[in-house]
Amino acid sequence: MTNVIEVRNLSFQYEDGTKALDNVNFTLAEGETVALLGANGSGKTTFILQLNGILSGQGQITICGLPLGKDTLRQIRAKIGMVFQDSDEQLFMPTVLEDVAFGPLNQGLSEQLAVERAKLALEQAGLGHVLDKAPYHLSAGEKRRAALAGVLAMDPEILVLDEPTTFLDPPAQRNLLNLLSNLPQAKIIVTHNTRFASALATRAGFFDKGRLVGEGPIDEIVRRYEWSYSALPEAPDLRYSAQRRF
Amino acid sequence: MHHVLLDQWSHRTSPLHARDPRAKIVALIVFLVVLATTRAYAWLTLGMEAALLVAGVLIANLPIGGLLLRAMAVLPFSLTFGVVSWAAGDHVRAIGLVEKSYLSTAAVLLVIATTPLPLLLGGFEALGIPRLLVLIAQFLYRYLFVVSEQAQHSRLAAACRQGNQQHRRIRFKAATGAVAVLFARSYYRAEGIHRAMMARGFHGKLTALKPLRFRTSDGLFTLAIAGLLILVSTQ
Amino acid sequence: MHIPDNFLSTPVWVSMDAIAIPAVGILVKRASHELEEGQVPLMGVMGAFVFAAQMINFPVGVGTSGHLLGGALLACTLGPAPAALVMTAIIALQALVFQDGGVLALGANVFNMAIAGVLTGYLPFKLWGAGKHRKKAIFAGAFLSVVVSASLALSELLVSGIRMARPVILVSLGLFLVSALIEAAITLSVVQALEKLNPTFVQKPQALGTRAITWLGGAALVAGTVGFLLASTAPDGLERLGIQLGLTARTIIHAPLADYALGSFQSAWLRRVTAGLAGLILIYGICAAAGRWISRQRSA
Repeated sequence: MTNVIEVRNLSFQYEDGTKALDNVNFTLAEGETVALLGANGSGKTTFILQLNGILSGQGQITICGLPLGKDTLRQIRAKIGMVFQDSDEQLFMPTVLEDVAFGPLNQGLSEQLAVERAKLALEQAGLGHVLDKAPYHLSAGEKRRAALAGVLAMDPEILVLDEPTTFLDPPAQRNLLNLLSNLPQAKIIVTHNTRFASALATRAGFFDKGRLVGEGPIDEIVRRYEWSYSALPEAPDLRYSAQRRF
Repeated sequence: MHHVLLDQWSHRTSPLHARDPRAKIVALIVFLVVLATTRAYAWLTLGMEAALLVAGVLIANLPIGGLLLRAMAVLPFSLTFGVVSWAAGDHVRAIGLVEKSYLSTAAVLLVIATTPLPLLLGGFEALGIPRLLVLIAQFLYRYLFVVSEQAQHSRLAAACRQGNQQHRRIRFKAATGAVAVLFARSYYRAEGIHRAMMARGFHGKLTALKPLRFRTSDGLFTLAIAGLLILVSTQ
Repeated sequence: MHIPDNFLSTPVWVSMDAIAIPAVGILVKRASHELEEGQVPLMGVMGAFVFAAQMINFPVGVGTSGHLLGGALLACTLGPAPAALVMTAIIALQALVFQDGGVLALGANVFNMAIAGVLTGYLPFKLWGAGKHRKKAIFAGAFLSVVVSASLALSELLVSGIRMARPVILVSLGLFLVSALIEAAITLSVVQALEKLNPTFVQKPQALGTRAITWLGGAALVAGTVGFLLASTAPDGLERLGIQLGLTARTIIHAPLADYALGSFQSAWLRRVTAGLAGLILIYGICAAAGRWISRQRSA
């Protein structure tokens, strides 16, 4: 099994000096799905932004055998497809079709080929009927899938999704789950939704204050760090105090 | 909201919707120039210009009452200036102001209601408007809906919290905060867009599809409108 | 302040289009040097921000509320040329999508608000924004931007022959001053809030530097002041001036066409509209040629 992502000794600081990532080591094998868990601000998003060079820190990152550097950025960005948390930021063109064609056009494809790829990707995502719609006419679930289509149209080998279930209602989440489980690419899913993650990922990494403090089978990680919703403490009894005030 | 409704209307289908945006833009300009140079008391001419617009609305499958109602948005301005002009003795101008500004507003409304704005912007670019300006307008329109929704939420939230707040100073400060926060969110949103663009291979030039194709029917349409207008106005 | 169509007389709106189109072209060339296409989303989103910000009510007096117009704010945050372009896009969309302002009158509205207004809004900030008079500079800039755009608009209307009784003019000028004060107060207050949120939001202008913008701003200020004075003179004198300007403009537009058959058209209307259209096409052609010439010069 080859590794499609290899990260060694990755560190990153913000301009004011705060350490966002501290000596992170990480690998992703071909076809594997890994979930990244951790508190807000623990470095998960900062980490994934390093993978395609949007942020650059110190350390070595190798994507599909290519070392990440200024000269390999274009190729690497074609190999890693990233879906961000805010779909409105990702769907910035006037129509869905134009947006999904953006990636292939940037890869240098002709207009005709780019449109073909875009249509295929949209079909794959179940959105063949919304080609000419403006992004603000789509539901949250449709927007998420359109963003995913925009990335699939570039034919990537790795998919990275940042909080993909945000704003999605249960049916939309199920839809997305089905779509993702049928895709062959290796995936990284950053999420708080451990049920969603467990359905797709076999392995998980846990981030805490910029460090990857734990790695292993997802159920074990969830248990170890008490990272599921059923781990919520008993709610204090507020009935008495409410009666007293009113 | 106004632009939401127009956006919906612009996505319908009709012979007018199907015309190339360039044809519609040119026809609009000719109409506006002809209207601008029509004399205020040339009732027949004005009536025919109005009839042309009504015909356009009907062909475009749009609700005539709704459209004519929305064109009334210009009336507060034109009536005010009309009254001012009338009071200063210039009756001709007063009447001309009101009737002609209403018709020109309706004409613009008709074009907007039959052309999705991004397509219209593409038409302007093809007619020579600088690309940078067209791109800015394109992104502005794309995010107008999102940002105006946010602003509405802020207003609602502020109203819920302030209710009886009488102190002008405090409300002023709150409004300032709302604007500043809106600015910040917009700024960070733009950063997010930039990141998404980079992640999909953006490297300097914004790529775009070129879907516009000027057909004979578009040329005939423009010539017909221009011809009609010239005919109408020599009455 | 958005002038609808059919308020301005033909010579006036044609002249304003003739002034605004090349001016916008120059600003586009200038902005293209400062920005890359990657910053277009920022400009677009900021334009959307201004639209939304204009909806927020600022209580300013007994039962009245003011709104931010945004020209000066954009200038202090994005820089003058980008701000002018964003304002141009805003005004164009306001005219098209919201029917706020005319299409033929776009030249006038863009010149008044996006060019003169933004540049005058920036001028004090550029000169004094880096020092201890920063707050006063921001206030003055926003104040001037409204005074200049409003007086230019009023002058254009008066020169077009819209007769307004003296008291009406004076009341309008008074209202402009009040709006200008409101804009200044709101702009300053928002800029201060922005600096607290993130100091990089607001620019730190260098006192020296691009002279072109300073000159343009100064010129806009002068034009606006002249407009202000024009607007406050007696309507009679203004009408006489308007007739003079109108005649001059009409002669300029007609002159090259006088030799052709067009001049022999019986219908005075037809002559007018053909001249108007021909004038527009001529301007369009000149701008296109000028644009190509400028870009050839730049790349040489």
